[in-house]
Amino acid sequence: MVELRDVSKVFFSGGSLKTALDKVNLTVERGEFVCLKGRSGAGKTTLLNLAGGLDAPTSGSASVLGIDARLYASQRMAELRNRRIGFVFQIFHLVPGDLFHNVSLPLQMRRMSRREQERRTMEVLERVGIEGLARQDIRTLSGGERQRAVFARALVKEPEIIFADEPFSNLDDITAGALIHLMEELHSNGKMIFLVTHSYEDRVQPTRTIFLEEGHLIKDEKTS
Amino acid sequence: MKKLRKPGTFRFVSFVLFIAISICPATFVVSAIEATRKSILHEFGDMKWEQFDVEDAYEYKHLKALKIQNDNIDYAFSVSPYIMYYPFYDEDRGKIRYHELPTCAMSVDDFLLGSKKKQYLLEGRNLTAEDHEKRAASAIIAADFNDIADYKDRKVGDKLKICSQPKDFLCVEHRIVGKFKDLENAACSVIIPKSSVSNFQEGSYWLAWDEQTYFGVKELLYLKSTVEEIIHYLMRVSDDYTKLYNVKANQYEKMVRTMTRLSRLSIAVFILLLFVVAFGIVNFIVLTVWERKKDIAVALVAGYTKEKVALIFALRYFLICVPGLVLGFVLSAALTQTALRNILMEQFSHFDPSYDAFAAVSVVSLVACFFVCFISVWTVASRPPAELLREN
Repeated sequence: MVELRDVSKVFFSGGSLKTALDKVNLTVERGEFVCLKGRSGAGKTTLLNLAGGLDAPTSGSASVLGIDARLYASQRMAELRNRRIGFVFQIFHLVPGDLFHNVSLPLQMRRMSRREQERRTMEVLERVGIEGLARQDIRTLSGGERQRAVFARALVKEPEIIFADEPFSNLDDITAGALIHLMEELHSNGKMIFLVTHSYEDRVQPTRTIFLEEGHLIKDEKTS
Repeated sequence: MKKLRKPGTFRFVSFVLFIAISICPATFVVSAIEATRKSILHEFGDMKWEQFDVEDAYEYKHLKALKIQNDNIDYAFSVSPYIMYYPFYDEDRGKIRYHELPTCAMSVDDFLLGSKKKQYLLEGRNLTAEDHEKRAASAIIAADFNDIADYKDRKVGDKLKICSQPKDFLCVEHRIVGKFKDLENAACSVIIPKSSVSNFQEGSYWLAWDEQTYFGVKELLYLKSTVEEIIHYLMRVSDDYTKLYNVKANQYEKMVRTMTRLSRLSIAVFILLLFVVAFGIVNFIVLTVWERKKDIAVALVAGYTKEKVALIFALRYFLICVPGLVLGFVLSAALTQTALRNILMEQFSHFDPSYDAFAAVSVVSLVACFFVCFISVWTVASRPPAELLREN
């Protein structure tokens, strides 16, 4: 489902080239719960973006659900991101408007009745426990509520894969626990989870843990 | 479309005002100069002018004249001792007013008749009375009359036959008015412009006359009422309309040429201003799009295609441009219809503002705005979403 072959990614930063990933090989199959670990700057987010088709490798090949990551701007990749892949960002990336507006954003691209959009949006908001805030402006929500909103925006697509980048940082125990529980539930329902986290590592139970260091994949172990 | 961030109210208003305030003066300058040019051309007609040498002409040694060709008929148009008045109905002021023309028009052949004196002198003879009569009559009638009435056997007060009319004028009376120099019975005509017939009122005549050269006031008694009216208006030298028609005939060509140059210059300035406006709009759109990379990236992550995102943005800015252009049009039209109209109607009887340029500019601006925005967003949305989020 997700395949990276000799993938390297080089950035131009501060007047010099910086290698974020160096010849990484990785294959992740359906139903796996992968946890990416490593220090800051190890290349976790870069790997996540390449695996999710949000970025193109400098060299090598990366594909998600059979589509090359270099086709990130194609119609096929857009459809993939709209229907089969969900993203959860650390810094939310919510757009101005109310909660409902943000969560229902992916459904706007589909040929779906307003009623159906509303039904699915409210259902997913209920699932993450913020259905009462549907019409509230996103700026008035707390950090925890915003993180739940980001989860809801990913889940409303009913995706096959969820890519989550540091979704529990800056969250309190209860909120983090609820979201970890939600991820495990999704995994048990057959979804592939791709998680980058530093927080609550001991409470997350992935099926596979990948360690990165300075752009190199140094360890890949099955954890259950 | 509503799913993406809308620009703030301040930004929206400033953008609309920017377009309106930029477009309005540019359009007004062009329409003002073009309308002035049209008014001048309307007043004087679409004529070809050329210098006409009358230095040898009898009694006109010190005069210059212009030859005008209009509808294949040659007219002489000179700054001469003749003074013409023709009336028009001033709708704004609700009364008949008069233009004063310090010129006299007559057919070229008749005008040249005077120059025969030189030829005659060379031949050892003077102009005959018949020559004088013919010349006088045709000069006063002031057009291409074939009818040089036979008035030798007429008495003062007799009306003369009018066989043909000048193209744009109506000769309503042609009478013997009395003795002049060698002429026993000289004639005078009362002519009105055909265009004023519908508004014609008693006493509203265009009278071609000259007391110094051909007819004294005493000889015009049979046109007493008209003459009195003309004398009455002669006293009212403050009439604004005289200013315009005090333009010397040989200055007209310069005037039209200058206006044509001004018109071309204004179009050049207008195009330059359009570039300034266009750069402003492009700058605004590109900056706004640049600032909204995160929104574009989020839309892409949500599954929007780059074409769809570009279309949404382009439509939004297209719609924002519309009120700006409409406002610019309204301001420009208001300026044209108030200030420009007042200025031109003080000088001309015709006012014809043109909005063609504005309409063309509006359409081009809207289409350009749409495409600039579409291409800007499309370019941004063609980049990897992760890169856009990282840069934000």
